[in-house]
Amino acid sequence: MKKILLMGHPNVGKSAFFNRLTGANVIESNYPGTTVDYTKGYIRLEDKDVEIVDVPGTFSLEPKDKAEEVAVAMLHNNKDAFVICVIDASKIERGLYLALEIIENGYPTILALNMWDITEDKNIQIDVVKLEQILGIPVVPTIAISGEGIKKLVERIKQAVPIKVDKIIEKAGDSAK
Amino acid sequence: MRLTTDQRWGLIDKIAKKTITFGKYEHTLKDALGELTIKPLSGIPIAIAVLYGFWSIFCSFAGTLCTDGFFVKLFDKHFLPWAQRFFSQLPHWLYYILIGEPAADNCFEAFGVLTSGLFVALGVVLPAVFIFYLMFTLLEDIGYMPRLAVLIDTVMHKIGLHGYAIVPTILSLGCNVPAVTACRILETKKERFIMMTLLAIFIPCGAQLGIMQKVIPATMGWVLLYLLAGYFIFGFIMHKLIPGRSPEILIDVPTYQMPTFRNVGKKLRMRTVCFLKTAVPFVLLGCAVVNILYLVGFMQWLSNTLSPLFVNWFGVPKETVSPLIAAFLRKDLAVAQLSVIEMSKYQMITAVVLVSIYFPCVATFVMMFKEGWRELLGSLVVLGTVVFLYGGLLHLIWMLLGVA
Amino acid sequence: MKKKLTEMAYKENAFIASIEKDIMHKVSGMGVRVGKRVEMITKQPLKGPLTISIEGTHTSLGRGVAEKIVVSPVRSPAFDKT
Repeated sequence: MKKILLMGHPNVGKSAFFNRLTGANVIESNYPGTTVDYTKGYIRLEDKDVEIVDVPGTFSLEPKDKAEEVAVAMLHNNKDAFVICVIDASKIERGLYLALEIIENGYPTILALNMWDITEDKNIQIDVVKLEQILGIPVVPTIAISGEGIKKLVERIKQAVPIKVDKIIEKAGDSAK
Repeated sequence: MRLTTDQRWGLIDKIAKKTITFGKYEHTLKDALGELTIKPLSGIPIAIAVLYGFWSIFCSFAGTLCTDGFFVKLFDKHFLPWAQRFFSQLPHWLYYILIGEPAADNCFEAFGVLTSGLFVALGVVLPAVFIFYLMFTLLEDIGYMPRLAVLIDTVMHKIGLHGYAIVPTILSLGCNVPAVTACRILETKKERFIMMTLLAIFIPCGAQLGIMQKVIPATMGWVLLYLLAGYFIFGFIMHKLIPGRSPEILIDVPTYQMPTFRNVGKKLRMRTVCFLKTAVPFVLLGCAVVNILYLVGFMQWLSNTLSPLFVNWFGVPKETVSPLIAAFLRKDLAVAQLSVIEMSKYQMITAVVLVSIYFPCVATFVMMFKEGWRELLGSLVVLGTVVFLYGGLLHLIWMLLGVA
Repeated sequence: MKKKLTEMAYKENAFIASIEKDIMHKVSGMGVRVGKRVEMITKQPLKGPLTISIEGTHTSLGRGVAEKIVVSPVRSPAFDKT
C-alpha cells in the first residue's frame, strides 16, 4: 500500500478524523503555496508506516474552486492510492455522490459514515450491512470527535478493493431482499 | 465506467431506498439560532455586534492587558536598563545594532535588535496575533463564517468578489500569509487576483494593528477608515477593468457546533507557531538591516534622494524613508519606527497609511510569488499606482482641510 | 404551477423540477437535484443570495444560480382536502 488519501466534503470533521488516525505519530507539515496545500502523517498498518494525506475538502470531483482543484489533482496524481472517503452520515445522499465518483475512477475505497451520533439524533436509520453489500466496499460508522469507530476503520482499510460501478447498479437494482 | 450526474443520482436513489429510513426531524434550538443569524433583519445587527465584540476584545486583551499591563513594564523598566548595562562594553557599532540608542529610556526609541526587535515581536505583536487567532478559530469552528459570507455577499459583488471573500479578508487581518493561500476558495482567476491584491495592499495585518493600537491609538481609526475606503474603491475599479467572471456564491451553511477544545487548541497552536516562525526572524533581521543601513550612511543618502517625493508629494518628513525600507521586512517594525519620528497628527496618518499600502512584507511577497508570478507582477503594478495616487490624495485632503 | 426557485416565498416548500445543464455539475455535489424537497429559509435583500434547506442542510446560492432552478410547489394540506 503506497498512500492513503483522506477525502470528503468540507465540514464533515475530516481534520478531527485525520488527527485520530495519525494519533501521536502526527507529522504536521503544511506545504503552503506550492501546488498542493495539505497535511500528511503516517499510520501504522501491519508493521509498516503508511503515508496518509488530508486532502482539502471537496463536494465533487468536478472542481468549482482552486482548493477543490488541488483535491482532484491529488487524486489523479496518486493512481495507486487507497481512499478513505469521509462523509457526513446525516447527509448521506450527497456523501454517496462523492463516494461513487471516487469508486467510478477505480480507486479502492473505504467509506466512513462520520457524525454517526448526529445521524441518530436526527432519527435517520442507515442499514450499514446492506449498504456495504450493495457498494461492495467496507462501510464503517464513525464519530471522529470522540474517536469511535476509528480503530475498526483502520483494521478494514486493507479490505478496500476497486469496484466496477455496474456491479453496484446490478446489486442496487436487485429487487429481491 | 463513469456515470452521468443523472445516472449517479438515480443509483443513489435506489441505494437510499434500500438502506436509509428518515425519521421525523425535530427542529432544535441550534436550527433556530442558525436561522436567526442568517436572516437579514436579525442577522445584520448580530453580525455588527459580533465584529464589534471581536474588535473590543482584541483591543483590550492585546493592548491594555498584555502590552501595557505587562510587557511595557517588563521591557522598559527591567530589560532595557539591564541590557544597556550588560552590553556596555561592546564596540560602538555592535552596541548600536543590538541595543540601539544608548540614551533611550523605552524600547520603541532604542531600536536595537535585542531591545525594540524583541519587544515589538513578543511584547506587542504576539499577544495581538494570539488573541486574533483565538477568536477567529472560535468563529470558524462554531460555523459562523459562512453566515457572515451570505450576509455580506451583495456588497462584495460590487467589487467583483462574492461573500466568501470575507474569509481571506478577515484572516488577513491576522496575517496576510495564510490569507494568500485562503484565496484559493475563490473560483476564478479574476476573483483571486482582486482578492490577493486588495489584501496585500489594504488590509493591515494583526502585527500592524497591534502596534498601531499601541503607538498611534488616537489616529488609528482614521487610518483604518482610509484603508477600508481604499479596499472598496480600488476593488470596484479593478472589478470594472479586469476581464473575467465573478461567479455567484454557492456554499454550505452548516449547523452551529460546539467547538472542541482539542481542535481549537490545535489550530491556534499551528497558526501561532507559523506566525512566530515567519515573523520573529524578520523583525530581528529588519532591525539589524535598518541599523546597518544607518551606520553606513545609506539611509541618510536615500532619505535625501527621495525627499522631493516624500516631502512634496506625500507631505511627510523625509525621515519616513527609513521605516518604508523596514516595512518591506516587517510592517509592525515600520510603524514602531514611525512613532518616534517628529511629525503632525495628519502626517502620521499619511505615513502609517503609506506603510500599510506600500509593498507587502517579505513573507507575503514570497507566498504571492508561489501562487503565480504573473499575478504578483500585476499586483505590484496596481500597488505602485495605488501608493502614488492614494498617498498624494491623502496629502491633498489635508491641504484642502488646511492642516498640511 | 411551476416557478423559479427565486420566486419561492419565505417558508414555502417545493420540489425541484429541473436544473439547467450549465449549473448542474456545480450544484449536484452539494445535494441539490431534481426531485428533492426544498424549503426557503431566507432571501437577502438587494438581489442577494438565497438560503434554502435541502436534505436537512442549509445551502446558500446566488440569484443567478437560483434562477436556473425550477420548482413545483408542494400543495398545501388544505388544498388536498378539497
